[in-house]
Amino acid sequence: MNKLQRILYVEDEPDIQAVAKLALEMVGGFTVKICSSGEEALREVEAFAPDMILLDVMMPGMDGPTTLEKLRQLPALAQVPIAFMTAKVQPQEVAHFKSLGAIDVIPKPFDAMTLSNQVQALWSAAHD
Amino acid sequence: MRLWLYLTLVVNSIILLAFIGYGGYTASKQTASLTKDLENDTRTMARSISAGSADDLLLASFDKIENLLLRQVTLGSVRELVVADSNGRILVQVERGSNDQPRSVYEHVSQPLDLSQSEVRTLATYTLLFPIERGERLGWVRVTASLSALETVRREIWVDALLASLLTVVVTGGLLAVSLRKTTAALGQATEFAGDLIQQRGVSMPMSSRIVEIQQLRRALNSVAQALSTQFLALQDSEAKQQRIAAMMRQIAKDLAARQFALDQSSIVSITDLQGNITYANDRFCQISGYALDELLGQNHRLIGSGSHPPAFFEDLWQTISAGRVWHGDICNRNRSGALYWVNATIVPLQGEDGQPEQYIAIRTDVTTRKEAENAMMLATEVAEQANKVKSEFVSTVSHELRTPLTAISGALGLIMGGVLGEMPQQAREMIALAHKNSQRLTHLINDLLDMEKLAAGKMDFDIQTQPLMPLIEQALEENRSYGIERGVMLALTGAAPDAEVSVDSQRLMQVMSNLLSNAIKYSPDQGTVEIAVEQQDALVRVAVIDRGQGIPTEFHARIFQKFSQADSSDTRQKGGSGLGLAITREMVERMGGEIGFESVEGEGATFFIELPLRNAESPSSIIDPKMFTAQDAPRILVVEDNEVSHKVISAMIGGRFDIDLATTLSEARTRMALERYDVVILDITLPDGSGWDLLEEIHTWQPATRIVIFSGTEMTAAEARKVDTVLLKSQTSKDQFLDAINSRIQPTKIKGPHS
Repeated sequence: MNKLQRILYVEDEPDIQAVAKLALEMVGGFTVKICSSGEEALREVEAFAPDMILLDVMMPGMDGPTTLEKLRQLPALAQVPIAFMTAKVQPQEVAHFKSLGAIDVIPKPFDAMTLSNQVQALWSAAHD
Repeated sequence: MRLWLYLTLVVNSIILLAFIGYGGYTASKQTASLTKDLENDTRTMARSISAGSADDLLLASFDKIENLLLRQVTLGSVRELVVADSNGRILVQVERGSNDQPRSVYEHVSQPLDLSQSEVRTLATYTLLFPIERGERLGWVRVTASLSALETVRREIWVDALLASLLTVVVTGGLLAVSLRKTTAALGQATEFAGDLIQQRGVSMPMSSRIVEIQQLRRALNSVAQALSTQFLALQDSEAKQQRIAAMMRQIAKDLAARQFALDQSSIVSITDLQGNITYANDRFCQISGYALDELLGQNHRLIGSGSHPPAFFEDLWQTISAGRVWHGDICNRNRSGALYWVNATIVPLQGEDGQPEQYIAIRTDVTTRKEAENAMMLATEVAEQANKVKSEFVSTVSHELRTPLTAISGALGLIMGGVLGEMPQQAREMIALAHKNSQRLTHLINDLLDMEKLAAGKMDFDIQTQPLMPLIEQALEENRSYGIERGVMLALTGAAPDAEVSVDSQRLMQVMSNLLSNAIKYSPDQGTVEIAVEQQDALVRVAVIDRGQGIPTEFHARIFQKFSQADSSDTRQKGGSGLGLAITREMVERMGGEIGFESVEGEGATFFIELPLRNAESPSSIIDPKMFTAQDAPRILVVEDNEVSHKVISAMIGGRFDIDLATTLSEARTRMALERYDVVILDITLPDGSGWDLLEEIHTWQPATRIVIFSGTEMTAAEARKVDTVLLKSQTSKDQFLDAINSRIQPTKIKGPHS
């Protein structure tokens, strides 16, 4: 696993799903799978076998932190970096998310043109 | 009367009485014997005459009888002789005349003899009647003897006795007087000595008598004198001590009276026994509780209980004071008519010799007004907090809801703008660019709104770390350089402060710098330069952001840091700002202990600068780490201030650095000062129960070491300002000035930076 290729993005908002998928696939050239809820992500994640997971925080049903907690319990994903993509970026919020096991937080609204670079940089940092 | 004279008189009187008794006894004994002899002689003569005259009587030879009688009448003490017949008729009567010549008496012969008494004794004579018989009663003989000889004898005896007694009295009296005077002279000396003792002139009595008792007396008196002398010296010493103690006690009593007077003027005072029964209450207590003194005395303190405190409140109170500690707090009481009132109470246990509390003294101040204001304030605060919470939630929710579509919009536009989806006609490109720019502006606005909301609610956390300044400035420059390039503006760093360390939240400082830099870039002319000038001064570092733009109109200077303010509304749209940037920036700078300012001349650009205190330099006095003070030496500050807003301002400026007590009235201040020592008193001049100036003298008297800072809304005269240590005007005092004023009042040796 020396190259970032497969990204799982968990996001309930279809429009953002579309923009992010486009940005990551067309700008970054990654393979992207979108899940619309935490439950769906837990079902699909092992089959997809992502290199990295991006999580929204506020979602109906299972929210981002809970999804993170459940994902972290899957042994197959032990080495997969997980980052949040959220508008909640107050320093204490960021610190809280990191304490849950996230490697970092990408603030919303994101810059579609530089999102791929951001994600790549986080992945690389996690594998240093 | 002198003792010797008295004794002499008594002794002489006894002697005199003894002689008189002896004389009387001797005289009566002598005369009794002589009387007996005389009576015997008289009887013998009567018998002899009776025998010698019987025959002559028978013969009626009265001449013979007369001769016989004439012979006999001059014998012995006989004075008169009479012979009568058996019927008592006098026949012959003779008497001893003058010159002892016998003579016959004829004048009274016709008067018969009294035959009823055979003997008659008078003082002068003795008369005996004796019968003349010859077988039958022939007649009577009467002999009368004179007792004058006896009288002479008696008189002589008396005279002898008196002479003897007088002689004895004279001799004895003289001797007695002489010897007694000598003896009593010793007593006189003793008396004189006693007098000397009293006046402390002599310490020993001279030996002046051979009499054993006098010598014993002298020795006893000398011992007494010595003991007295010792005791007198001790007494003098103790008197001096007592005088000193009395003077001290008078001074203490005076001080206490003054303090009690002051206390009574302002405080509600009561004393209870260990069960809480009232044993003393002052006038203010009676006044506020509505009870007369006699209604209170002996009653339990629960009489004025309001029932508005939970049982645990009083359990804590009793536990504290019964353990001998002082309890302090606010209590709600109920007066006689049922109305509630609040007091700030200090209850002090008075301990006995065994260290156990004996009674409790409670000193209270009426804080009903303050408490009501606090309650009203608390209610208002609750309402405001609730409203604020609702507002915060609203802003947060709206912001999030706005961000979600914005994320999609700006993302989509960004991708199109980035050419990911292929080329577009020129006009379409321009419109998409316009939409993209405005979506970004909306994003900034939402971010600023959230920041402002957080700052206003005090919910923005600052992770303050002491760190070098220059890397942060350089990073800020880098982050904003691309925006400068986009606008054709160059960023230039001038000056440096390589060693400067500041205590800041690095992310927030970055935000501050970004705001200032983006503003400067935004307002700079094309191809202009924005200068970032760093300059280290004494205790602070100044970072200035200088642009060569159009500058800030003078009329706008006063409002520049207010929310939603830009030079004109059309400008807002033109430059894409939210109007919140500088307001947020100022808040953040101040929260990090710095200051922000600007200088601008219209048409010549603007200079915005921030000043941050240096952490590695000698700290300015305003930066005080509360940890520098231990609990014992933490300075105590009394704030005498009735205005709630001013109190909040002062509390905010002091910011937990020092322990402060609040008094809202003069009387409350007096009570506080009677109970505690303060390092600083911050005094407002206009108070509900008088002027702050009234308190000056009391502060100077009671707590001369206390410094006084006047914090007033009105200007002082120079003369007034000289009476206190510092005068600060509410409208013109910054936090630093305020802290400086307090700090310079507190031992300066303690005010040092953590690195010094």
